[in-house]
Amino acid sequence: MTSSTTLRQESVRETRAPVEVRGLHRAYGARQVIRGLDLRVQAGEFLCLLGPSGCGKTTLLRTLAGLDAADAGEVDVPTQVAIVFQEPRLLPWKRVDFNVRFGVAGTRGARAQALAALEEVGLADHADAWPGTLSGGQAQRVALARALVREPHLLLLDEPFAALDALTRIRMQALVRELVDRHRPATVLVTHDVEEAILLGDRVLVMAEGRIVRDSDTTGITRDAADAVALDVLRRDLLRELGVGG
Amino acid sequence: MPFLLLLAWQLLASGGAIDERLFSSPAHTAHALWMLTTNGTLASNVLVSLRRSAIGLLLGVSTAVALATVSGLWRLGEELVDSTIQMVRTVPVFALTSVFVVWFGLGELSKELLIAMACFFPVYLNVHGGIRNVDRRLVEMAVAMGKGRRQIIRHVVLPGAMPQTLVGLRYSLSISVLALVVAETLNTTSGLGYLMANAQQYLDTDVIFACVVVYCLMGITADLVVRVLEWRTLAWRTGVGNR
Repeated sequence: MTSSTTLRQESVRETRAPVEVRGLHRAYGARQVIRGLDLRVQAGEFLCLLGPSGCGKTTLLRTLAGLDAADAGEVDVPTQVAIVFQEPRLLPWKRVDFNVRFGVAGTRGARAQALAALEEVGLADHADAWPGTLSGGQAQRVALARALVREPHLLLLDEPFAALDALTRIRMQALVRELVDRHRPATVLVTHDVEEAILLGDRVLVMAEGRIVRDSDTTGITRDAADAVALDVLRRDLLRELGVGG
Repeated sequence: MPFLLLLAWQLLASGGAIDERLFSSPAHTAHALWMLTTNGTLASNVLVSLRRSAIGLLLGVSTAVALATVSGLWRLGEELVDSTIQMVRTVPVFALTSVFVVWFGLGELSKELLIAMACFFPVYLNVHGGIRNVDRRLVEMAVAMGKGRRQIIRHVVLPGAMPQTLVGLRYSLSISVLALVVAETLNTTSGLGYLMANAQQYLDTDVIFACVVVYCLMGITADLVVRVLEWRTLAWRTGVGNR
């Protein structure tokens, strides 16, 4: 299985590189999680990954983040990658400001950068707070700032809204869309939520049993915001693909 | 309530209900304490005792932190260090008191080492456990941020193990006083324990009780020190509590 493993993360490029995954295989013991997956993400593209639990979408994301090794295949990602997890994963013993600075290489002298990133997520006045005093939504915004401060060319979001209440989730979705529009990283969002995927993504992919089984361009539908019929059709199609309803 | 108890004790003692040769009264204890303080015997002996427990504590705690860090961070370290320590741990330290005297002589060394050994285990176990219980997800986050091993140990693992470490330190400090008492019952010519052993020979319960009070004060001070340490290093936790 280890024959053709290559993980080129350090490829030197000046411009924003798209993500290229070719023939990715990954198994945990006897269980094949990803089987021969191909994926291309263009620069500045917002991709949403849907799929039932255990279909391998989180594994794919972890592979892109460099947290999981490929058994076989080629994974080509930009050097500057940032990830936001389902939980904020802030260091509780460091103040918010340090937690954001933790995103950049040298933590010294990066305070201005951190403050700018906190300003963008609307938490500039919480720079000196302890993470434990933040609400769930605020903590997740700090995690977002920590990702942004890396100036990522690839932003990975692993169900970042799943643990938030409905209202906070809507606010966070708008914030993420706004920030991605401003910074234009290639973005991959893993989610369970079909509405969220259609609303946020330029492209919606459906994964099943370690492969991509559907790939739809949603820019035409969501950007015009008028094509209600097409939106409805797409939603029904996606839900059927996920095994819900008919 | 403690004051009422003290008052009751005093009244019973002066009323003759309690034999003062067996149970000193608070007034007599206070008097003995005052006498010992003014003639300088207390200060010099307490200083000797404090030196012993401080050296023993320092020795025990620093080796414990060092070994626990090694065994907590590296798999090889765990196999070499942890299994050995887990075996030695079952030996009751104070059973070794007389052997320590044989090994390390009647001087200060045997006492300091006994205290060090008694203080070692609580810190070792807690630091080791603390390192092992550091949230894996935080480590993973740091890896995803491209942090190296050193940065992860410094910013994630060690601070994460801090609360547990302080729990261990707190145990150790109270044990150090206990170990001091045991260590000083054997062949001492100075120190709080010597003062007490001496008083025992003359059945001077006033002085014995005075020494017990001093031991208590040492224990309380030790606890206070850790509380201040906790308050300073775990400020992020009080932040949570204040919410």
